[in-house]
Order: sequence, then structure tokens, then C-alpha cells
Amino acid sequence: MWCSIEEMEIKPMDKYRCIVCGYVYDPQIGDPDDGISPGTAFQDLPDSWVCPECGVGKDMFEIL
Amino acid sequence: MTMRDLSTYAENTWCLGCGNFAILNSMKAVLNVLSEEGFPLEKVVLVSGIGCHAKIVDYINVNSFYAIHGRVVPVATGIKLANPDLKVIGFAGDGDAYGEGLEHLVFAAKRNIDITMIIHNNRVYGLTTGQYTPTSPLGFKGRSTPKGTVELPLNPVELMLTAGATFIARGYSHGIELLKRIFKQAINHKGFSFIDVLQVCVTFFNMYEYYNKRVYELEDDDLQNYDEALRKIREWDYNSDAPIALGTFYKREIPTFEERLLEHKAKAGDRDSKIKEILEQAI
Repeated sequence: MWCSIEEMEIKPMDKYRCIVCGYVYDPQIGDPDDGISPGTAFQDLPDSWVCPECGVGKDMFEIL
Repeated sequence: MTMRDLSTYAENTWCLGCGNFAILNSMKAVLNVLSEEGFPLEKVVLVSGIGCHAKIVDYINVNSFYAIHGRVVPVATGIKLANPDLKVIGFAGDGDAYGEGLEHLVFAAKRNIDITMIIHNNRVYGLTTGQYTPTSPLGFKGRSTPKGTVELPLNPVELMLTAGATFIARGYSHGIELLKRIFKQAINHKGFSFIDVLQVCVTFFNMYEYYNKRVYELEDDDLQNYDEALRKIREWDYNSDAPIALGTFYKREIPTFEERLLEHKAKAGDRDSKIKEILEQAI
């Protein structure tokens, strides 16, 4: 799938860390056990996605 | 092959931030792998006790049994003896397994019954809102000990080694990849497998920061060396400040309880038929 450079800037492949338990979401790995393919940016995770280690939502993650 | 959906209709009621999520998600992932490898999940039975951990069997769509407090091991043992083809996986809390039901755990290790026991060790009674357990550190202040406990904690991993467990590991709820690895090894181990999971209770004993600064991962080598396992296990006593090893400490293969029992029964069966044969000839 093609995307513009602007889109890439909006959706960087940054890692995010759960501020509760320390789990790191790495977009290169995704979360295959929960149906999230490698290459999925944190911003593209569905709102229903939660930390696989402690269950908190995306709002409890900070950029690394 | 697509992942089998192991979710259930039950709403998850654990606190947000609870380490039980890591155990749940690790187990679902491992069961999916077993299924993909050809093991029918109809032959898996989960058993849980009483406590926050116990809800895990509500959240995984395979056969399960809710035991009473401290009795996960005897129920799991009975299921395994009734049908040795089943993979029986028990979940218990630290209050459940190291308090009320400690003797069952010791005898399961001694007998080497082929079941897996996963202990959600949050080191506090969470469901009853924060009393100390056998693994709470000295001085722990909870609802039943407002001035702090006056007793040292148990090292359950050391106890399991000396009791005869043939697979011994420790995991941590912030460490899902390691949990998946050791769960799979434990389930595939022929004999009694024991995993102590440092599972953080975010509400009554939040140890994330403490553990994150101290945990490290063991190399999977020389796993049959009892003395070396004991040395690694004693590095941290669940009380003092020390590095906390995660991973597999010990593994060896010896005949299981059910193998010895069934062999004994088969021999007894031969004897009965011979007695019958002699009696029939005599009459």
C-alpha cells in the first residue's frame, strides 16, 4: 500500500511504553497474538486494543 | 492456519493494570500454538482455585473446573489419573497454593504427577482487599497487619526443588514473551511442572517498579544440575534486595506418578487373572 511522505510523518513507527507495567509496543513486531500485524503503527491500533500484559488502554502509553 | 478464538462471553473484571492479563494472554497464545501443532484443545483441562486469578478459566474457551480454595492440585491430580491423555493445567494464587493448599503442592511435586501448576504470585490477598500471604515480605502492611508483618516469607521455588518437582521456572507478568516460552515448556514437560509467576497486583501491592529494576533472564543451560539450580533459586529469598532470576531453573525426566500407578495396576491385573486361572483348574 502506497502512502505519501506526509502520511509517514503523521504515523511514525515509534515505540510506545505502557506507563503502568512497562510493556513496550514495537510496531515492527505488532501484537500478533491479538491480531495486530507487524508494521502497524501505534496510532493505527484499534481503540479497543489494550496492553497485553496489564490490560490498560492506549491512553496509558507514552512515546519512547 | 488462523488462530482459534479462545475468548468467551464473560466480561473481564480484573483491575486495569493487573498482571493476570499477561498470564491470560500468554496461555491463550500457547494453547493456539499447541492447536496449530496438532494437539486437540478438547484434551486440555484448566483448573483454578479461589481468588482473583481463578477467573482466568472464565476467559479461556476450553474445558475447565473451578476448585475450592487451596484444592487446585488434588482436583487436577484426580482429572489426570482418571484420563492420563488429558493435559491438565492448574492455576492458583499464592494464598491458594502456598497457604491453604501448600501440602497438596508438596505432594504433587513429590509424586511427579504430570500436571502443570501456574502460581499467580502477587504476594497479597487481592480479592479480599489486601492481607499478607506466605510470600509477602517482612514488614508488609496490609489490612490484617497495619503495623507490618513479623514473619519472613517463604521461598516457594526452593520448596518445590527440595520437594522433587521436575520442572521449575519463574516468570513475571511484565515479560509476556518469556511467559509464553516457559508455559509451553512446562505444558510439554512430562512430569510435575511448576511456575511461580511474579504477577503484580496493581491495586494492593504494586511491585512493577521494584521488579523492573531487579529482574534478569537466566540462560537455559545445565538445567539438570540440582546444586546450580539451588544456588540460582537462593539468590533472591522474596524478602531481601537482590537480583531476581527469571526463566527455567531446573528440569529432569523421571517416571511420572500415573505411569508408575498404571504399571502397578497392570501387574496386579496379571496376578488376578492367574489366580482365577488356578482356581478354575482346581474347581
